[in-house]
Amino acid sequence: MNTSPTHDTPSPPPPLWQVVPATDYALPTDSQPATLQRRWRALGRLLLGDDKDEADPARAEADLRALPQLRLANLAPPIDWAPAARALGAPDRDAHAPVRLFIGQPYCEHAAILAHWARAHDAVVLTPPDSAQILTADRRWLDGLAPDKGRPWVLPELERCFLRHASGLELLRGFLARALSGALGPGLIGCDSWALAFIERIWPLPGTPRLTLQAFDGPALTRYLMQADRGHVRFLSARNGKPLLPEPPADGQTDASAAEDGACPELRQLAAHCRGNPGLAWHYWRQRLRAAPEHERQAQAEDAPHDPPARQDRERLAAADEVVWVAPGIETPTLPAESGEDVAFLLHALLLHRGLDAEALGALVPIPGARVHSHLLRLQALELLTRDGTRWQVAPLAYPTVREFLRSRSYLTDDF
Amino acid sequence: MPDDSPNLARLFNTLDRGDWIELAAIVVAAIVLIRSAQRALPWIANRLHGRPRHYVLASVPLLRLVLIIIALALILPILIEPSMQNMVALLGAAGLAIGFALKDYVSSLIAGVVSAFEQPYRPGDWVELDGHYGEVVHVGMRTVSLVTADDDTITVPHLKLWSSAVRNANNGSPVLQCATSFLVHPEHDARHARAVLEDVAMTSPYLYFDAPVVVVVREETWGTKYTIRAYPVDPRQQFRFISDLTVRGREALSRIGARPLLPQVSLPA
Repeated sequence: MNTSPTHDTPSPPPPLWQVVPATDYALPTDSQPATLQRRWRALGRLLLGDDKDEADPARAEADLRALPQLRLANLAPPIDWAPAARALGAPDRDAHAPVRLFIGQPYCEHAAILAHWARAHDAVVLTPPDSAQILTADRRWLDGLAPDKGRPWVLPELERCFLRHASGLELLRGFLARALSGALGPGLIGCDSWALAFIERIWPLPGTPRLTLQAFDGPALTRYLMQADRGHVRFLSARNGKPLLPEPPADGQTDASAAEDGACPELRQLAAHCRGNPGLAWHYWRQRLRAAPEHERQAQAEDAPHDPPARQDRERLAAADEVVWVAPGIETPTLPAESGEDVAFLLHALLLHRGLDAEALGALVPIPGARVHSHLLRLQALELLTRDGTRWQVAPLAYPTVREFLRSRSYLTDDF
Repeated sequence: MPDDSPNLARLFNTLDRGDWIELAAIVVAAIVLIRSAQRALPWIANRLHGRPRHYVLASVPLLRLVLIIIALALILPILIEPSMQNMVALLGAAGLAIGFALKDYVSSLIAGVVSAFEQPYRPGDWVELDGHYGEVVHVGMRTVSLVTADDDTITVPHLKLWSSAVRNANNGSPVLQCATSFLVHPEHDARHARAVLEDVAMTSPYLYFDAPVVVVVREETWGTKYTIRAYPVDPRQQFRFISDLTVRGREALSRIGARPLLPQVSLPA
């Protein structure tokens, strides 16, 4: 990222998507006052058990409207993970390390990245076993993993190959023994960061290269948002009315140095809050977008008919420069102060497996089935969990809160 | 017999109204501060987890001792002229009274001071004291209070420190080892049983991963004894952790055909 100011011609900007060894992951840093402010609020919540927002919403924010889903989809389209897959490079045919691990943080869609990669390199995609096969240690799944000469293989979701159960580890061990010995040929394993933290305690993985996406700091996040196709939209901070993204250069190219210099404190804070996780930052960004206050839009509409040429100008101007407000602060669901052991077990199990259905969850925690359902529904009502079909997951906006909750109670967490 | 009354009279200062008010203010302030610390610090500690909780709890008796010493250092110069002669006379009189009437009480007080420095137990520790096992919830000047697994509060005088052993399961650390035993019929695959029990521990949601998990196997005359030694994330979970390991360990051993050892019953002829 270093560009020397003494050079006449600036060095080319680093690629936005970088795949780096996991040990080189650089957590973005927050500014000191913002960190202190956040810790002060956390202390208040801890001691007073106050789950409400500490400050009243600003007047301007109260006037802002939530955007319809269609508009949100245009303004913040889902992340295209293809560039991240390209950053992974070609299959590694190094005989000393036939297998590489690609670690994805929650919401960073490592399975989607590896699916892109597999298509690009004509790799064989291995499907994980189902829960019943895992719990019965069905060796037929392992026996079906025959190497395909000349083609690399990809297992996109290692976290789907085990259950944290005394009978749920045998297939994982069997697979790792075969894969790491090179019996399957060169391959790439995708794994969730939480699952990997657990797997390493079961099966240490020394010597296996571990790769991950480099953290998105404030400037990288700014560059990503500038690159996203959003038409002629200006994102203004609802806190101070200033633009959050620098104006793109006239030639239409995204200027990395403009992003580097122009990354606003809000985006730096967002990057630090999300610990450099671009998938999580995308969820936060999307959640904070707001439409202009209703009365301003009405006033514009009332003024317009009296002067048709001016109306056309205004409409043209409005079309060319639509304003989208970005709500101040980062709203996160909070855990009830009385959250106990049961809640911790459920949240931890969901993170270690990157989501589970209620039945599997009931088999992994020492909680009666009826109480599991009751807790899940309660946590869903608190916006801490989401359900995708039958699979329960920690909600993206709740992830930092849940991670801190588990870390402070000494539960195993990921390395990011 | 010489008349000592002028000397004794000089031992204590003549107190005027201002001195009495000052004495009362110091005593009241010390009591208020000690009570406040004894309420506030455990209240804060119970909102924390792991190491911070342990350190805040352990600071309570030490802080109280510091407050008492400060209060005494402020009170004594008001009450007596702090000369060597006066101190010897005061300590001699106090020693006589303590020796005859309040021996055990004062011995407990002194043991309480010693316990604040040596820290054989601190609030938050899990100890066995005088045959009782529980979590230390309060270390007073004279006694220590434990809450047992049956939710009984046991109060033991510090005096026991002089003559009894203190078994401290975590000794100031926020982690504590639990031992879960299984008695198995000798006819089984011991290597497999050991691996299975290790997985039982590794997959427990209670497990604290930064401490080792060990399965100890011992051959006894009546069968094989397995003991899982592992640590829960919070010492307060120890009984639930052991229960979880026991339930799942039995299931796992049963799956691999290792039978639990049944007691020998002699049938009547």
